[in-house]
Amino acid sequence: MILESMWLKSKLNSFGFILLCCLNIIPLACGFIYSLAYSFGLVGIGNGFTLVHWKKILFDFHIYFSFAYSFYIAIVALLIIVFTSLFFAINFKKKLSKGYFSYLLHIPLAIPAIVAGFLSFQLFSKSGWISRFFLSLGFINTNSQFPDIVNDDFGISIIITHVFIAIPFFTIYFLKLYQSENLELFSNASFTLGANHFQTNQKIIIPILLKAAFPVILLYLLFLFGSYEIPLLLGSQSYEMVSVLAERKLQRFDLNDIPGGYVIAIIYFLVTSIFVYQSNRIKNNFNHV
Amino acid sequence: MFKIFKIILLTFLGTMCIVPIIYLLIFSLAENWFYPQILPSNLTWKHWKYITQSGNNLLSGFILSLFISTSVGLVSTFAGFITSRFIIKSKNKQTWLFLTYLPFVFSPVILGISVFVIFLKLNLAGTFIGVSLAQLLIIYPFATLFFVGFWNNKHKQLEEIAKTMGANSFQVYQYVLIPASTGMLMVCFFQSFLLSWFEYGLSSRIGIGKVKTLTIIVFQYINESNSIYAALACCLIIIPPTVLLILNKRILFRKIA
Repeated sequence: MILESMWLKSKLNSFGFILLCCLNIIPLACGFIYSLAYSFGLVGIGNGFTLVHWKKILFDFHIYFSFAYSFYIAIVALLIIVFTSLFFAINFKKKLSKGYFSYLLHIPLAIPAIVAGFLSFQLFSKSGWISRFFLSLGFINTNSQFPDIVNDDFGISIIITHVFIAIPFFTIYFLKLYQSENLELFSNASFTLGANHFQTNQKIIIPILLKAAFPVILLYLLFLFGSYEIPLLLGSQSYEMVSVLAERKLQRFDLNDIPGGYVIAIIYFLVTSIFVYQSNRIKNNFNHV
Repeated sequence: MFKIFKIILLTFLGTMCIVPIIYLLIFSLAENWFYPQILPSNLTWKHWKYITQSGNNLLSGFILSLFISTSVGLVSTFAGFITSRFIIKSKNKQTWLFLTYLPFVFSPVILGISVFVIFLKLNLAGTFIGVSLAQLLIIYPFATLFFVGFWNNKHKQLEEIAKTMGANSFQVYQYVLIPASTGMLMVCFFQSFLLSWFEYGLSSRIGIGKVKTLTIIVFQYINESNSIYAALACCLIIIPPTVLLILNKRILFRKIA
């Protein structure tokens, strides 16, 4: 009986380990090794070990620019998302927690990136709905006077679209954190001690919410950094985000560009891994405080 | 003054949430909507009727997406449930967690680029099973991470009581852990289903244009500048999850924080 129980236990534990290996570790490791081998010319079109592709990519200004551009989009969008959501969650917590607004807030969660990108294009392009609305109000006379929001170099439409998708999610998340962290009690105690609304928000509520949400905020930064569909639909021709650049290099007719795509994939892999490792460490440090 | 400002902001937030669905619905019903008209001159059901006509790929894409998302949701939920137990009990918990996080936070397109050759060698590229397996690469880690935060002392005690009473590990799962986790299993399945339903990057790479899920069809219509049918496909993507999200709001987000 004991032996059978031990055997079953080890079998189930092994099954969890096998699943982790088959669906996670092995495909990831194989993909990484293949990308590495391709980038060094060991497989694919290469004739043997070479550093040519790495040198070509590492000395290419566009790659650094693409990483910096992706980081810029991710940081700007994230800052707007986090602070706007905090503002809504703190100032409208009662209205947004129940009633019609709580239902409305869930609707954007059902909108995937590709649909949001398409929608932004239809709304913000020169012949889009907002341009038509401005024309009807007399703010502009022709559609050419409408500013370039879509496919612009500053990624305005990409940022707007990410902000639109994420504000409801983060607002709901902060509202739930507000309840789970018992912030109502903290703020009441703060008022009793003589603090005003601004001081309570600044010294107690916002720091607690940001600390509790920090792991999710970091993960969302990575999600924004690697986003693909929205920059593909709304990004400019001259400035590309990392995912779009890597995919474009691999889809070109020039076969010599393919190893470059794998080099970018590896750099992205390393950057993301370091980021996840560091964020896990920060998260653990937070938990120990 | 501040109260008026608050009302304006709240109205803006509400409008921002509802406008996308209304706009897409109008767009999918529009006929002769040229610049600079604010609203279409005519509304018609003829584009929606196209869904039921034979030979179109919208209905088949909808059914295919439904199959893929349901199977991926079910497999990732149960696989994640079992794997999370292994991770929680492991001495190397932090290492396993780090490895689980990686594919989940990667850009699906770059992950697709890296693993494409494996699917090609196994003759899985461009197949239903290939796309489902590819989606599992990101959704299974999500499900695992979802359950890692779920296990607590209460489950440990339940398990110990069951074992004291003579249950083996399978029976512990069958009669104790799964019934005690039904609610969370449903939440995880629904969220995994949504992730799969919305997935584009991996499906397009591994599906090589042969497996046409709804997101792929939307992109195809956008590329063809067929905006009305793109809007129609967008409606098909967002309406089912919207209805389900609203219906299941309380269950779904009860444990999000």
